[in-house]
Amino acid sequence: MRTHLSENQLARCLVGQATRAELEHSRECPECGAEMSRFAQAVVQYQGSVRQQVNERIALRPTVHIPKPGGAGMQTRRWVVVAAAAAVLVFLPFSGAEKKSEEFRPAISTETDPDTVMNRVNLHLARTVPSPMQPLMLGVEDMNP
Amino acid sequence: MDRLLIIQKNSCLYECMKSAATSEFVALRVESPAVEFDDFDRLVERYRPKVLRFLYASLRDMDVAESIAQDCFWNAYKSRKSFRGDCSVNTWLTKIAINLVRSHLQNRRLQFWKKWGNSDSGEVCNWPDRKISPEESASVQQQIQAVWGATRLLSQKQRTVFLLRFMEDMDIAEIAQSTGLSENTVKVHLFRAVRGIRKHLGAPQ
Repeated sequence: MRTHLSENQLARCLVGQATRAELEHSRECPECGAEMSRFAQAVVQYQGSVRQQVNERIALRPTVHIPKPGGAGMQTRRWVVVAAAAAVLVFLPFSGAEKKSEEFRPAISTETDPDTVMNRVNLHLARTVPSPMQPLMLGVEDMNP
Repeated sequence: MDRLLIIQKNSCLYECMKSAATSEFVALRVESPAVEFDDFDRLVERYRPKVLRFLYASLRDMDVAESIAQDCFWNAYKSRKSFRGDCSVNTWLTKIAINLVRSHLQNRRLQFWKKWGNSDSGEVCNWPDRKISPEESASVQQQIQAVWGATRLLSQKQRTVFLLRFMEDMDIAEIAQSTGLSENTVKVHLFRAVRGIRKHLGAPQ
């Protein structure tokens, strides 16, 4: 082979797919050999650069945390929190209503003395108007003595 | 007479035998993947540099590479039971890493606004030996930058094949297994990648 290797032939040599003639030429021809070694040198330097940076990073962080079984557990826990929050949101209005109804419920007497209870019953029966209207009736009585 | 010797890989004896192996020893048994998976931390320690190197060279961002390396090992841990041992653990991890790189690049393509912020930081290397002169060092830096730039211009498959061949010294069959391509396709991608990089490197100065 008298002429120099073409671009394609050089690439074939570099990836190990060259023919015997091309390989022989690359060994014998100093220019083609230099072309190949120039590429090889660039690749080696690039390789060295990447390796160096990776080694530096590994030296900085020698261990890597792989969250083995925790990953799934974490997700389950997250769902539990979401479900709890949803449950609180659903039941919050009902609990408020219950509280309100308790506020309006009249107080139940807990007295047990029979005379006191009898007096309270008599007083209740003697009323001419329901107890909430009692103050109004007092005002009316004041106006018409 | 042929004899079969079974030795655990990475044991002292394995190292001795490997260097002194003769025709008398027919096979050195390689540690089975199941044994490797038993001690997953050791597996991570062993393959992390390789995986990280490939990811960093593919993505050119060490933080992203590290994060994807974690995902790679996590995926490997999750699917360790489905590993049939058809290929080596190295090839299997490389396959996972390639898939993660592919999906990361697809996601990044969708997040086009992020490209403005961080694409080419140019921080690449302090690789050159400190013994060489500043001029030589600058020339080496320039060459490294040129290869970095050239690899970015390659298609994703070409870059992957190039990195596996020239960064990880994998042979064509291993690359074919890792990428899921046929050996001929790998050869074509490799040829195009080398031609593309040579073109980008340009004429000698």
